[in-house]
Amino acid sequence: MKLRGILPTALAIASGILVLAGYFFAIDVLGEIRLTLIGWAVIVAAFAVFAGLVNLLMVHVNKIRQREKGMAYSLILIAALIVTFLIGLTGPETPTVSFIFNSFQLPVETSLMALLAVTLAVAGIRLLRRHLNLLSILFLATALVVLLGTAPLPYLGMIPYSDWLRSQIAQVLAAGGARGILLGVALGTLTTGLRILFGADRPYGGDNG
Amino acid sequence: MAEPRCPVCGQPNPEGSETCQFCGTRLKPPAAAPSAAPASIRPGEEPVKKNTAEFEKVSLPSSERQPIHPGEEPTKKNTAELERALPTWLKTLRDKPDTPPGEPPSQTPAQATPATSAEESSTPPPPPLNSVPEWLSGLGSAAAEEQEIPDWLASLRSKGGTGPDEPEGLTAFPQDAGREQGSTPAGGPPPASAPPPEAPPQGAAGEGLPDWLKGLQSEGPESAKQEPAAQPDNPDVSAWLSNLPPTPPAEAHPTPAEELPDWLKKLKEQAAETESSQPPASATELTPEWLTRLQAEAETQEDAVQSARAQHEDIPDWLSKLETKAGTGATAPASPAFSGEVPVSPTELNGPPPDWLSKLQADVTAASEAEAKKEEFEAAPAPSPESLPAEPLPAWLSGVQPEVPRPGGTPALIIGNEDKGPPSAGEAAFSMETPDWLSKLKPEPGPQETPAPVPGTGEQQPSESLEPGDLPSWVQAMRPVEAVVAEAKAVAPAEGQVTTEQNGPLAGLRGVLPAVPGLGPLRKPPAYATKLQASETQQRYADSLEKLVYAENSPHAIRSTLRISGHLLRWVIVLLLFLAVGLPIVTGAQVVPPTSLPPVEEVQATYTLIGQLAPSSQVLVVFDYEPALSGELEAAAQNVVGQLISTGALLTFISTSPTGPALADHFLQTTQPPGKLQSGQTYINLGYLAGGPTGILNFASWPGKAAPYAWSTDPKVDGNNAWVMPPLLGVVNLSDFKAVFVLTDSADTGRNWIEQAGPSLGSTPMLMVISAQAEPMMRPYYDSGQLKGLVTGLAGGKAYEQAVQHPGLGQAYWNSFSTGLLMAEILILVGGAWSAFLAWRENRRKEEEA
Amino acid sequence: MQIPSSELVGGGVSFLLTLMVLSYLIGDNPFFRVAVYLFVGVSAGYAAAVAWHQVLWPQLFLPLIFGSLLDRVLALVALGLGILLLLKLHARTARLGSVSMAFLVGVGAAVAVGGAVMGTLFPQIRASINMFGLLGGTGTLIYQLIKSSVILVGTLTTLIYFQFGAKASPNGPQVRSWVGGLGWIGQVFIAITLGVLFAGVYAAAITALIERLNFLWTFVISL
Repeated sequence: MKLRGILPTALAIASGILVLAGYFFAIDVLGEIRLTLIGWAVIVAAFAVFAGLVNLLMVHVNKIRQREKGMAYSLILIAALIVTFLIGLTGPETPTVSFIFNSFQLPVETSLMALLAVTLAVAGIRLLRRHLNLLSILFLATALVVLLGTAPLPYLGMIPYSDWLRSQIAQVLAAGGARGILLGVALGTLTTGLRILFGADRPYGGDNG
Repeated sequence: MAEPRCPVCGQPNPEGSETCQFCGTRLKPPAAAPSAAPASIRPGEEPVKKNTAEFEKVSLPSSERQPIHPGEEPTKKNTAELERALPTWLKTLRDKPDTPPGEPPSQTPAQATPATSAEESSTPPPPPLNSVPEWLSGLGSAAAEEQEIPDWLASLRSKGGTGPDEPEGLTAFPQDAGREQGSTPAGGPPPASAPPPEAPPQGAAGEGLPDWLKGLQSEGPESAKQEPAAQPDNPDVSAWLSNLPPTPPAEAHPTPAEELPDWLKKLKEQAAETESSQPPASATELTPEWLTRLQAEAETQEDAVQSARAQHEDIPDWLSKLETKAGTGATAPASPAFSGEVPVSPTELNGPPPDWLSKLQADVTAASEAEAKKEEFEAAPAPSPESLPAEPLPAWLSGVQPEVPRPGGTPALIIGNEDKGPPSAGEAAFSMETPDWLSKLKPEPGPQETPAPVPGTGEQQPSESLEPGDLPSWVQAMRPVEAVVAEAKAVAPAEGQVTTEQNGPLAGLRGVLPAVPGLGPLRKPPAYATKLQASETQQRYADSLEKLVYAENSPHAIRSTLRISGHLLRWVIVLLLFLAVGLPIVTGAQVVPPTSLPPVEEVQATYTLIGQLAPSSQVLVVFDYEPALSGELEAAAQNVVGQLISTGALLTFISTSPTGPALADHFLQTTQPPGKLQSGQTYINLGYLAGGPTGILNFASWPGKAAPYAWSTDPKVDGNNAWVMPPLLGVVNLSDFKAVFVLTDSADTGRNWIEQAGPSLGSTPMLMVISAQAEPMMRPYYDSGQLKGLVTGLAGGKAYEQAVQHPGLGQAYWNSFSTGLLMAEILILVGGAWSAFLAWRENRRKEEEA
Repeated sequence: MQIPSSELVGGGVSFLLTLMVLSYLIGDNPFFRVAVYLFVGVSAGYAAAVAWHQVLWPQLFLPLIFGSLLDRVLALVALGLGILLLLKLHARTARLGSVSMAFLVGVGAAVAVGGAVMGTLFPQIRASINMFGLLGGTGTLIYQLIKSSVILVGTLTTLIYFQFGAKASPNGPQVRSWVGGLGWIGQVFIAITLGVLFAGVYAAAITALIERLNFLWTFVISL
């Protein structure tokens, strides 16, 4: 292991152990250190937002510089970003920024979600064309049953026992699977976190990163 | 070290002696001429200038000096051509029966000296003096013209200012007489100025000398006066030699006819005829016209020959033999004649010349001509049988076969040479030292085969054959260049034969490479089959591979309706969905009863819990959903937050999403009646909490430090310490809140809040208003008791509206939601079934095809 | 009813952008691309503005400028870590950003581990056990028993399905037969769970569609 790879690993292990120890040991000093480290992590996370912003700018600036196809859209993106950021520096709660948010970001994002209704319908129709097996049929059948039990039929109301069926499916069968998934995710998180705290994994650009 | 023995007579000789004291045979091989270096010229090489005097030695031209290579069959040769390559002693042996009784044998006296018994046993016995070996039998009719002119004869001629082409009767005398003045050929007898190394006894010399030679001796003092050369120590020999008048040029100084023997006179006449450079009209008995012609041509090369002789170190054996005879009275005259200072004129000879002498004369004449025309010999093409003179040839020429020019046989041209480099010194020495007659002994190539390559030199020796009746090559080469070129033009070269250069300095030479780029096919390149030799199995595999590759590259026929059907399906779905969703909105039709939903447990729990909150309860509301699902969450949380407000709870908004604070404001503007909430009084917005789970943990651990300032559109509130405002007054920890409501559309966000903030809540209930898409993953938390209430999606909001009996967005959206869901269900059901049928049918077809 | 000009303008912009985005249902077109690129730029700029206004300024630069010595020192450390993180944008200085990344990863890993253990593992396992308490639940005892059993089976089989251990054999990794069978049952539960998830996503999407169409209609009416 090279010397320059030891520092990040040591820092990751040290900070992680200090934070994790606060879960199990109610020591004031340890708590203070834990809070300080967490506070620094929050600030660094805010810097990460700026890092993402700068990276986005660099990508589209290069696209414009190299005269790639679609550079006009990149120009629009960069212009909107700069204008919004500069206006937002005055305060995101200001009416201007609220206007920008409510007029540009909110409707577009909501509309994109609305497109999903059509896309999912098409995907549901074509699912069995591509994967005709028991699990795919079970998947679609479950979705249909749940949808049927979610809302009443026009002019017909709820189908008898549809809501019960929906509740049983969602609250029993799906709950069991969901719990298993949650437990599996938690176990995986535990394993990965411990590997990082032990230095076995270094996804932050150490010797193995 | 043993004394060297003579290979001919077997007599011992002192060390260092180069010639035998008894027979005059050379004991040591002559030094290789400078031309021993590769005489052949390779393509691209420039011809090396040679001193033609180097070729004066008794040897055949290099063009005819071809070594025999292993594997080659000896080519039948007419040994008559090899006559000139014969040493003198050999010729003497042949002529032994013809010598007069009183005349000593042609061999040196040393040969007559009986050898000691010891020496006899160690050395091979000399051949019988009177017998001619069988291999020399053919030399009887040898082409005397091919023999080189003895040095003494050449010297005799040169003394008179002529070339060594004069068929003098004194051909027995060494040519060294005319060779130089003061220069001594290596190993040869000393010049006339120096005493001879061996002085033959006078008595023996006087007894054995022919009459003509005796006559020469009597005239010796007279001749000696005319020569500036020093007198030799042997007065008997040298005196007459020195007194000999210089040999006049053949063309300029005819000797008195009455003084010359008849045969010599005839020779002179023939020489005079050849001076006119006319082809001999007729051939005399002794000297054919071609011989006289040779003499005439040789005179023009006198200077070069003389200089070459000056450098020549060797005295032919026959010359040394003649010295001995002169000394013993039976041998040739001594040094004066050998030195060439006293050319002997044939007219001064007395008596008829012996047969051997006549033959020697002829040989010498021919040899001298051959040496002088050495290069011309090589260049001169072989005359075709038609070009040969029609006159009858003498007997001794009858056996002469015309030399068919060997295709590419000249050194200047190497045809089919695989080894382009010059031949090694050993090869050159071997090729140089091999007798000409021997070099001509090579197998005749077959009709379809090419000659076997020479292992040493890599040369291919083309076949060579001599047609009867043709002039020898060296004779033909002496013809004028123009005649050769004209003949070459008239005669189309046969296949495989070389062509004669027409222009340039190499005009007349045969086998010269054409001076044009891209010399023609020097050799036939090997023929390689262009067709791939593949077995049947390999061919079958190749065909299969080709089919596979073709199938990959060949475009498959695509049903044109596929793309249209995809777009059409989407447009149909859009239309149906928009109609299903839009019609209720546009028409405002009430297709679904307002209270159609059954009560939901988790919704009831939420309703119940909120109802249990005390007024002015500090409640934390987390807005952690994205703008994309703001419609659903606003519809679901509208009455929840409304109920909270209606109970008088003090709300604190916070978000782990950058858009959360703005969404909270939008939520309040959209769902809640204006004026009911006042920022900083009834509610406070803590803004954005960075860091995700870390930020939640930070907030859960120390809320006041994690989010100290307020977010508000009211400048009076914005940026101020929120924890001193009524909504957060007295709140230090997260557990100080009476309830925590998390509005989220993501199961991960909800899980984060549960995991990070849950342990810090204590008894504070956490409730969630989630999107329908997060319900499956949040359900276990509700089942586990970590969540106290759960409102899921629009249906949950509708259900909550039914519970609070306050219609809201849920009701507004419910009709469209119902019709839209129904349409989606129909589309998925019908479309899925149709897709399943198509897939089944396709699978069945594939199975049938398989 | 007159709509304020600001709301009119805002509404108009929203209306226009909504149509531009919904035009994608017909096919990809430049209007949709413009709307999307505009949205990305606005959201990125807004997020950066919020991060600055809500985090960096009040929690970093204000203590750095006006805070106590301890606050300044702590702020300097945070500033240094943040600058190192920004250096990761350039290839030459990317290696220096490893320190900040390591710090973030270390703290995040500890937070995740603590939360997973304290917030999910223990409670969920406890809940799985408590389901068989059969007391306080709704429905009959048998129903609760069956429900609990099903949930437990679902939980276990789902976990078994995610168990990828196999025994090495000459023919390749071989999974035990009973493990494979239980894993198949877990696949069934997972399929059902994903089906419910799909239904919920579709319900959310159709709600968003309803909201957008409602806005469009409302705006048109308001004109």
